[in-house]
This record gives sequence, C-alpha cells and structure tokens, in this order.
Amino acid sequence: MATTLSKRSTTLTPSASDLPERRRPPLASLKRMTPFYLMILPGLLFFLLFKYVPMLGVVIAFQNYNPFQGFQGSEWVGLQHFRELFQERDFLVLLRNTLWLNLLDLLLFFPIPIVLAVMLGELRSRRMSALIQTVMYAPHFLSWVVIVGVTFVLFSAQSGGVNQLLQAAGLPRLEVLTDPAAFRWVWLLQNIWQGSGWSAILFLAALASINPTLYEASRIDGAGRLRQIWHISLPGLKQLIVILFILRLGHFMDLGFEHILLLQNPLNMSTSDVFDTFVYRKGIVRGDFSYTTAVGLFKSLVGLLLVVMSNKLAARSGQEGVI
Amino acid sequence: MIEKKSRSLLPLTLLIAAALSACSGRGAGNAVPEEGAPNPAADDGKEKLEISLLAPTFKGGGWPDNNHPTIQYLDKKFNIDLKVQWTPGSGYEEKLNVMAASGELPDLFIGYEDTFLKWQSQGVFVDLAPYLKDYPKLASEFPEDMMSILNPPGKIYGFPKYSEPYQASLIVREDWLNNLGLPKPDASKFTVDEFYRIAKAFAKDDPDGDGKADTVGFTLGAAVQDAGFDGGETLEAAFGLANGWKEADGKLVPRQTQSEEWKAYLGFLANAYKEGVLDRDFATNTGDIVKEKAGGGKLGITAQNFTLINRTNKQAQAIDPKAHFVPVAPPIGPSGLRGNAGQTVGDTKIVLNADISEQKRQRVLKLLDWWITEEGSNVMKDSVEGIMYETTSDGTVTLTERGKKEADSLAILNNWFFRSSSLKHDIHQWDDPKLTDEFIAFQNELAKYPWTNPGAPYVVYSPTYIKDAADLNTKFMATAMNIIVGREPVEDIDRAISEWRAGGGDDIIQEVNDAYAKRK
Repeated sequence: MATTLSKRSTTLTPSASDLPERRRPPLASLKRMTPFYLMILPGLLFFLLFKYVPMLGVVIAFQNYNPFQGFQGSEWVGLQHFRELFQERDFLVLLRNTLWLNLLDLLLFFPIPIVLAVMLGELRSRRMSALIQTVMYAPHFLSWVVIVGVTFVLFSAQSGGVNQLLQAAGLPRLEVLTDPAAFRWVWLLQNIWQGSGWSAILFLAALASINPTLYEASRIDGAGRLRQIWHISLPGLKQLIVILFILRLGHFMDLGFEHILLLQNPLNMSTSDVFDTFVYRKGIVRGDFSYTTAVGLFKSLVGLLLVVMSNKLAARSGQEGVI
Repeated sequence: MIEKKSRSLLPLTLLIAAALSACSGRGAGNAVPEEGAPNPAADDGKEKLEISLLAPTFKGGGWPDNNHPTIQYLDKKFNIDLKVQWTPGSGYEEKLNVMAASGELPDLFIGYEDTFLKWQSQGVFVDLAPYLKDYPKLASEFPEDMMSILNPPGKIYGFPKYSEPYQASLIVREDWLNNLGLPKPDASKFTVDEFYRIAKAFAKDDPDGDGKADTVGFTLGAAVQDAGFDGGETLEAAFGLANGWKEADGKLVPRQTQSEEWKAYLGFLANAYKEGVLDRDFATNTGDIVKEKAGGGKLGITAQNFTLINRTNKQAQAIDPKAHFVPVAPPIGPSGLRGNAGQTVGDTKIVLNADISEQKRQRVLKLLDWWITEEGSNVMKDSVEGIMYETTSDGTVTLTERGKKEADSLAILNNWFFRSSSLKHDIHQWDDPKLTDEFIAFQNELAKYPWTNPGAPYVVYSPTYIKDAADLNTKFMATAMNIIVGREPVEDIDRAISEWRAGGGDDIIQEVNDAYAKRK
C-alpha cells in the first residue's frame, strides 16, 4: 500500500507548479486559452445540440402529445402518465425483469473483463497476448442481428444444428430460445461473448500504466504472481473500476434494447419483457409518445439517483468519484 | 464498459423527434387545411414535382434505387420525380409513427386501419370526396362498401387497397403424398384426423426419400396480434373458433372467450407438438421463415395465396423437380365445421398527405387514376416494354433476359401499394392466358367454405382495442403457446381468458358491440 501512496503523491506534485499561472490577468489568459476553447467548441456544440436541447422534449411526458399539433397545441395532463405507469398491470413484471437482467450483468459480467485483463497482463509472450486480445475483442464488431441469428441457427428447437446432433445422439433437445428460465442466461452469455474482450481493453491500458518498477521491487521482496496481482495490479486498477462501476450504475435501468428484442418471443415474454421493449412496443409501434417518454424519464431518474448515491459512497470510502 | 452496447437510444430518439416537430407542428388552428375548391386546372403538368411515397416490402424487398424502369417511366409520363421509400411491411406503422413525430410524412402512403382512423380526425389526410368528380376511374373502380369503410359519412380520406376477400388456401405437397402412397384429400371427406395423419406421415416417414428425418408435418407462424396463428386459420375454423368475432343472438362475441373451442384446438396442437408433427420452431417463426421452409422442401403442408403458390412451386422444384404443392379444401372439424378465412377488404387505405399543395394533389390523383386503367396496370405490374418484356410480331409477349432475372420484383408497387380491382391484377401479359381462369377457379373454390369476421369493421371504433388489444393478445397467446409446448395444462386457457377479459377484454366487447349496434 505504501508504494501506491507514494506513487500518487508524485503524480500530484506537478499541479502545485500551476498555481502562479492563475494570477495572470483574466483577459490575457483568455487570449492564451482561445485555441483551446475553439478546440472544445465542436464537442460542446454536439452536447448542446444532441444532449441538452432534446431534453426539452421531456415536456411531452406531461402532455397528451400529438405530433400533428406539436408542443404548443398538445393538451397538458400533468402526472397522468406517471400514475398510469405505476398502475400498469405489468409494471412489477417489467421492473423485476429489468432488475434481474441488470443485476446479472452487474455481478457476473462486470468482473469478467477485469479478470481477463489481469490474466492477459500476466502472459509472458507479448505476441500471444496480442493474439488472444484480438480474437477476444473481435465479436464486439458483430451486430446483435448476426449474433442472435447464429444462435438461432445453432439452437432452434427443430432445425438447430445443436439440437439435430442431440436428437441423433438420442438426447433431449435444448429449448433455450423459448424457455423463459433460459432467456436470462442466453442473454448474459451472449453479452459476455460479445463484450468482455472489448471491455478488457480499458483495463489493459490501465495495467500498462502501472510503474514496472513496482513489480521489480516486489519480486526482490519475494512476492509471487498472485501477491503481485493482489498488491499491485488490482490496486492500480481500483480507481478505474470504481469510476466504471459508477457509470455503469447510471445505466442501471437500461439494457441493450435490440438484443433483447431479437431474442424475445411470446414464449419467453414472462422474463424477457423489460422497460426498453415496452417503450418500443407502446411508443414506436403504437405511437403513444407521451406515455413512453414518461417511462423513459422514470428510468433516467432512477439512473441519476443511483449515480449520485454510488458517487457519495465512493467519496466516503476515500475514492475519487465522477462528479 | 461504457461502450459495451448501444444503450437504449429510444427515449432520446423520441425526444429529438419531438423537439424537431415542435418547429413543424401545425398548431391546433389549421388542423384541417382548406385551400380553396379542388380544381384540376391547378395543375397544368408543366412544373416538375417531387412526390414521395412510402411503400411496404415483403419477401424479396424493394427496388434498390429510384432508377427502376417503372419509376423512370412514371417520372417521364407525369413530369414528376418519384421518390419511393421502401420499408419492411412488419415495421410500416412504426416507420410512419417516427416520420409523423419528426414532421416528415411522405406525400403518398398507406394508412392501415387504426392509423387511418386515428389520424383522419387530426386532418392528416386529404378529403378526396370533392375530387372524385374529376377522376371518374378512381370514383368508380372500387365497390361502394370498400370505399366507405372506416370513412365518416360524406368523406373519403383514402382509396382502398384492393384485395380478394379470400386469399390463402391450404396447400399440400402432392408428390410427397404420391411417394408415401397416400391419396389426395377428398374435399367432401377431408377431416382434421386425416390432416393429422398426412402431417404425421410427412414428419415421420421421410416423404422426400433422402433418408434423413429433416421434414416437418405442418407449422404455424406466431401472429400473436390477432390472437391466432399464421397458417392455422383452417384448423381454427374446423375447431369452431371465430375468425376474430362471431355473431350470436345479435351480439358480437370475440374468439378469445371461446373456452371449449380453444381447449379442443390447443389439445390438438399440443399433441401434434409432443409427437413431433408440429414444427418445434413454430414459436420463433415469422411469415417469411414459413415461406422459406415451404420453398426449401422442408415443409409439406402450409397455406398460401395464388401468386405465392406458383412461386413456391418454382422454388421447391429447384431442389426437387417433382415438387408440387396443390390446393386442398379446408379440413372438417369434430363438429362438422370448416372454413377459409375471409378478410375484411378495403380497410387498408392509400392516403394523400394533407400538407401537399393543390397542384401536387392533382398530379398525384392523375397518377393514381392512370394506375388502375388497363394501360397503367400493365406498366405497374409488368414494367416497361422493350426493357423487361418484348412483343413479337405475332403478338406473343415474352420476358427479356433482364425481365426474367427480375420477374419476381416487377409488380411489387402494384402488389404492395395500390392496384386495380381487375381480376387480372396478378396476371402478367406473358403469362399463359389460362392462368386467369385458374385464378378465378381458385377464388371460387376458396369462397365455397366461408369463415367470415362480422366484427372486423367495428373493432377500430373501440378505444380500448386500439390501445390494449395487441398487448392483451400477446399475453393470451403466450399462454396458448405454453400449452402447446406442454409447459402448462390445457385448462390454463381459462385463466388466460379471464385475464384477457379483466385486463380490458370486457371493455373491448362492450365498445365493439356499441359500435355494432350503432352502425350495422
């Protein structure tokens, strides 16, 4: 622990030398900074145009919005859509399914890229490490349509390749695509297959930035590989893990929408119907814009609450948060 | 981790769409624009107009660009720049909703029944009634009831997309029957038991003779929106279910409440599933997958319309030259009932966007008026002479090389968007003239066993139906499908029925019957 602390204090020192610059006259500093502000501008405009301005659209959650009459013409209904949502027959089912999938994702998916990155970091052969890394993040570039399509080709109850082999061997068929109990695991495994290699890249980069002298020093002190992982690699990743975890919590109510929709069928609806697919069905297919905006707003508020709470917790336990 | 998946962008998309449309919103005041009396002189045809059209696509998809010979022909003839946008038929209303939210509805599009009803009061469509006197062909082409259905008295907000009331027939692979030594079903004695025996033989006895158990008896598609199965219509009729609604003592009764009939039907299907006669993939089938299975020589019994049967036979013959699907009568149920599903015709409307100028309206109406003449129809279904087909000196018409390659996609605007009510609207000039007679015989045969839906014109007047029917039916069918695959006992359908009623079904029954009493 002592070594990590000393490392941190060294990274802090340069900021002390920045202090005198703050005392320059404001106009001069503005002039000096102009190129930087110009560089920020496109990004700033992007966020304003595509993130902040559309937020004004949430007013339709409080209206009976009618696209042909626009914002001004539509009738105001207050909190009616929110009341409707909480009284929705399926509200509890949707909430349960959404929480289930998110918990699975958080508890079983989130740690896997970390483990992968640490394992890759321990590989002695650089070439081997690069090869494995490439193979593992390649699925990230496949769209869900392809991934789900391949799963169907393999696991369809009647014509799926795996099931035909099972049948030929006299074994019972796997009905993973229509079994409500199997849906969550199919979804999770596909997520892991598609995303874990890609997500590991961030952690690998963080590992690479750990000062190698720490490892050398620990080796001289007689530390084995596991001790090195425990005392150097993981503490080095701690800050990144906490930040990513907080950001992940911000999306706690969101799930990969098209992925679930592709896997959804009437037989597994009892576990696969989540807020996102509900919004799609009601809003886009049925044209009920106001109601679904209310659902979206509700989801975002839950996400915001979780981010603020987890950020507080992180700050209390002595970590830097995101806000 | 952050970029792991594309996080749900839907609410955001909606918001952007809403924000954009705020600028283009029409305001409550001018919801129904009145720009003077319709006058054909408003358009002298001299100015080139851009006309956008949203067309649905089904198997095979749309034309790759707007340079198709048919479109170029129309562009030249009407001095327009026709921009056809294609969108998959299953997502058509979804696409329209998104376009409406962003204020970018096309000039010419299809209004399916509930969209048509919902939007007509918003002033989205041009009222065509005042225009009809100048376009006699459009005014007289379609039967009166097809024109007036879903329109308020005195108004015409759209032209019907014409279709025959009976479309799909049950079809069976005749060559498979021959291979197995089974007789072709005799219409007067064809029962569901015989249907089952044939299906079982198709599934178990290797009808294609390749030594592999790779065929299925029969299959269904999961058309849950109508609380029924795609391709299961003739079986549903045989087991006594209503085609949506049936009339009893002057009241309309929905099929969802027919407990005994459901139990008999689901019992039959559950047994078929258990014995491997019903396709085990039925729950994940879409309409196109079923068509592929039939064309790919894996499926021996299905239901298709006249045009599709010919196409499926061609596709299947590429694999097995003897392959041949033949239409058969619908099977007779335990209590002697049988039927082919009759469709409500005229409830799909071709509409004009009320935002377009008087000049453009006239131009579009000229186009549509010409479309349904014999001359226009020939272009819309056969494309352009000299490019896609040629007439030889003795008057016979043959496809060119290009025409042969694109034969299946020549008529798509005519098939999927708008067409005349002529019996020949699916027959090409190069087809054997006998085909028209065959088509008429096919239609007459189907109409012998009517299974109609007296409730169809009234459901759209039920607000609960519009709002909740799809969701309620999805849940209802989830139980039905769980029963078929054996995860729930057949008795569970009673629970689904009471949930359907309590969740809004009773309101739908009430509202539909109110509309029925008022309008019948």
